Amino acid sequence: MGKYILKRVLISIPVLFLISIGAFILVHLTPGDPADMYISPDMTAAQVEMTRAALGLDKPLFIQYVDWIANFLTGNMGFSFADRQPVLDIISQRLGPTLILMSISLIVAYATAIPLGIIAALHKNSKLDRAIIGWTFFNVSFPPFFLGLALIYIFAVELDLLPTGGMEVLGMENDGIDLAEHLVLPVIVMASQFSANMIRYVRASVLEVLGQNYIRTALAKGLKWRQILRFHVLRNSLIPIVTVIGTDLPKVIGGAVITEQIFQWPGIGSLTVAAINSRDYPVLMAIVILSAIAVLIANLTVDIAYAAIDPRIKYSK
Amino acid sequence: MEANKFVLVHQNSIGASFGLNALSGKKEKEKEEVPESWGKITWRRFCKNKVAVWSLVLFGAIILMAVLAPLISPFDPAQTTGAFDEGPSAAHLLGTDDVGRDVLSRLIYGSQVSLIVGIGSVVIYAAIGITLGLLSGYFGGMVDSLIMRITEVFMAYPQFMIILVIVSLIGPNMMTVMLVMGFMGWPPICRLVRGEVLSIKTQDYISAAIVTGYSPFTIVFKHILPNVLSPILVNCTFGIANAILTEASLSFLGMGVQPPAASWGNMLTSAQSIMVLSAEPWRWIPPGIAILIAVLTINFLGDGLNEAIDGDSK
Repeated sequence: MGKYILKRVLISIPVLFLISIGAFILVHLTPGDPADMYISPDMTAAQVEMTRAALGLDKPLFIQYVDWIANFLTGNMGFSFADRQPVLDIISQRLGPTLILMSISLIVAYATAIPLGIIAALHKNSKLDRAIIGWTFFNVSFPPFFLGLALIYIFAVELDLLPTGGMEVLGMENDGIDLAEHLVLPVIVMASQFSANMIRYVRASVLEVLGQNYIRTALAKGLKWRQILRFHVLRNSLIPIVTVIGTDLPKVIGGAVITEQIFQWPGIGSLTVAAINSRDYPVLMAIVILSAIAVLIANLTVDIAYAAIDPRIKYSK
Repeated sequence: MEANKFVLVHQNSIGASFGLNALSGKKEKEKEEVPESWGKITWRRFCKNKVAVWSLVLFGAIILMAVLAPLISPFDPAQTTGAFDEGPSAAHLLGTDDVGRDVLSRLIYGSQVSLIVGIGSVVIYAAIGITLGLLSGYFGGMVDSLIMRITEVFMAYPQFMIILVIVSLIGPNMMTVMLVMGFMGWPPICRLVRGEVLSIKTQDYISAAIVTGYSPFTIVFKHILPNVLSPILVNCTFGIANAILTEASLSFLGMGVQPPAASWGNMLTSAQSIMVLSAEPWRWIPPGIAILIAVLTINFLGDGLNEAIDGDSK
């Protein structure tokens, strides 16, 4: 097991390296000079050169990359063009709200999806099954921004039950109820996108296990159906769930952009849109790399967890 | 499993020697049974699925709407043709937007953008993904591990976020959205094709082709590719639905098709203001529903196709 983990980690290192190069090239291919933000029209040519040198932009691209990655690894991600604050500070301020939104959305999504998937499988081809499957199609096809706007229109504007956006009412004492009220709509939008995939996966997985020989054996030897479900079917069919979580994570990060933007949620997603609009390259570059690292770590964890849960997987491969 | 059953049925009907006759005596048997072509069988199975058939009809209607847009739309979608922010009326069936453009005309023309970007980007990434997947699966070794590492790098970036960032950096318009989505979307299909090739590669007819002396190019594109087409087709159908959704999301955020050009996504952008959202529902509900219908029909189509190709799973 230790060897397997080590190998997976080692494979990730060149991938990480390529990811960082990708992000660096991406930002440097863009038209316009990053120094433009710091240069005013009344500067002399010498002053412009000094500014460029101070920013390290006079060096060859390769050296710039090495400088940047060395700084990045020590936590120095540069300064935002927009408000001159350290990028690390800006991102760490926005990380909390995003993590709250994502984790609650995923919990809600899976807590509804797993039982629905099991129910659909156990009642295969019944009206209930068809309804659940139809519901998943509806969910994956609903444009998240349209769903968000429709929810705001119904629950915030017409019924006036919930806030239209933000994370808290300004100037009020922060309490759990206020936060929960602000969470309801964004969580519905995010969760609806992720429950569909999980429902289908769980359904397929349960159906597959139901067709296995050991289920027939368990039936033949006279076990009660309830026991078979609990100990044979569910235990085995829920293992692949781990992979769904792995594939969902990159989508959660992307989905957060739209959801946070619509609900003005003060997280990484809305920061991304703001950074794009203000051409804030250092912030953008940091977001791209950090989210890629997050995905990589998530995939790694999923692989290891999968191997740990399912004894049939060989570590030495 | 389905395939086994199928063979069993055949063996019962035409004798146990079918397996041995497969190579030499197949033509004779075909005369007796006149088997339907693969396309016909699939089509017949597809037609049993009512939802899929209706989706096909609806999707056909959307394509027709896009093609006939200049003929059927009442106004120029990019020009001011009425009062500002006017509700639905006889002249403007779905009202007008904040600069007096006809919402219905924009809705009709928006279908062009969705279809062009949706289909175009999938064609691009399918071409890249299929080629790399075939190479990776067929040649294996260094080629394989190199291509697989590259897919890992591409898949590590959160798809929507990286497309958003690249499009915004190189300048958002319909072309860049389509190209970026095309160049970023190939890894999943590459992996799918690679997996299929790996399993087909061990089949006897491929060994036979190699022994006969066909070039790798011929083997890959003439012998292997046709046999992996069905999963690719299903994947691409779902891919189009996804691409339409992505384009709409980008345009909604202002990072896709730019006004005055009409796209279903950018028609909803203005509804981010509570004023428009609450007072002018005619401006954002129709395009939202249009996206929903387009994506839903394509997803149902993909599902119907999947079932038809897979054989009856019921």
